[in-house]
Amino acid sequence: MTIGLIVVGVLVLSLSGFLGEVVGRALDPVVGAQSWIATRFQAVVDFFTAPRDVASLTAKNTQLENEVSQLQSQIIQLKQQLSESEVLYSLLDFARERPENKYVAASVIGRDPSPFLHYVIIDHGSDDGIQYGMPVVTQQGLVGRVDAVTAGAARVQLITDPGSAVNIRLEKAGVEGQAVGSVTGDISLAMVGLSAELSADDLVLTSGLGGDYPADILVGQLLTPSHELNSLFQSAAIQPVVDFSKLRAVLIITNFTPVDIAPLTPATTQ
Amino acid sequence: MYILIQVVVFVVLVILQLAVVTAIPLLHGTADLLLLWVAGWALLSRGRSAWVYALAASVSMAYVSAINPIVPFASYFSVVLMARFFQNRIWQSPIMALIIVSFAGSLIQSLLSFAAITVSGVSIDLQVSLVQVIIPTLFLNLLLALPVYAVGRDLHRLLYPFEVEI
Repeated sequence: MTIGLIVVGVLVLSLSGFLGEVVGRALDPVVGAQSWIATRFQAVVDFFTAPRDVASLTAKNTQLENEVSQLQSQIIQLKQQLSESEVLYSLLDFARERPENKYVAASVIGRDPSPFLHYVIIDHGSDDGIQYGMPVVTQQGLVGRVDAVTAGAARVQLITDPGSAVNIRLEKAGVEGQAVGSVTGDISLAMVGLSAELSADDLVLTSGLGGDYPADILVGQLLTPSHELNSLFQSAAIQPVVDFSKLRAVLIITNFTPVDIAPLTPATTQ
Repeated sequence: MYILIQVVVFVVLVILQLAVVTAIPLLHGTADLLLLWVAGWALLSRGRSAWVYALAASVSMAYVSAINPIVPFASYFSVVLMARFFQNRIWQSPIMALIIVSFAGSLIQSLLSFAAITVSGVSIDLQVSLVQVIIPTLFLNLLLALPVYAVGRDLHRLLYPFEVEI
């Protein structure tokens, strides 16, 4: 009888739509208690398991830090490889643009120990077909020429060396002269007469005179031409196109044979 | 074994000089590790090894550099000579002797280089060379003299632990 009344009551509440609300109100204290107990239990569990988690997290953190370090070193290596590849690709592009020349690519592996001189040492020598006097360039322009060769290495005199003098011509002015180096690595214009009309930003190219270098290799750009009083020649600084402080790879023109004009030079008269 | 270690050290010094030290200029001056090593070793040892180092340094620099070979030979051997001279006179203060020898050796090397280049027919300005090359080179050599000497002293103690200074 009692069960029947309960069933009827439930059915009435269900049909009238009040069952959910009644059940909800009846279960609210139970849910609250469940939540309270679960929170406290979790706190107790955390209290006992936290030290173990810290240890595992510390180990995990160390492992991740190691991975980060490895990845960072890989990034540095890849950046370096990318940089070297860019240099080599630009040298390759330069060589492809001038199919008339044959090139050997070489890396710069050292510099002359004397601070007065501007020479670099490259990692290719006579075994690779490199000979004394061969011109050395980069994708930007003229670097210098081979000064000494061994089987596996060579020494290159840069155009910034105080003993270097390159026969050049100025593109706009159409005059010829010389680009001479200095002990500080600056290049200056020499042997240009007073009648020539020089202008800043004029391009400086090799003239090919003297037979030391092929013609029309870019050397640099003219800066602030001037002539001093009672001077026979005009003077100007030349901004080289090659950054010699960051020289890493070069191309040696192997099919150019320098002409030795020493026998044609008249002997010094007493 | 001792000789092998010294050969390895010397080769490392040459490589460092050509690849690293020359790429770190002050204005246009660069330090000379070999000169400093020869100076320090000549002050530390009393045997012939300093002369051997001077010879090896002279030959290697004459081979690698475009400078006249007289310059490295004269400068490195003069450094050993000076070190021997000061070793017997101010032996109680080796640091002072090191500084004097390094300074004088660097100056001799720079002036000889300047003279050799000028004699070869290349015109270079003395004032520019002094300000841009010689003084920075002297400064760098003095700056590196002590660390190089310290490394040399440790190596000397490692190789010759029983050598008694008189």
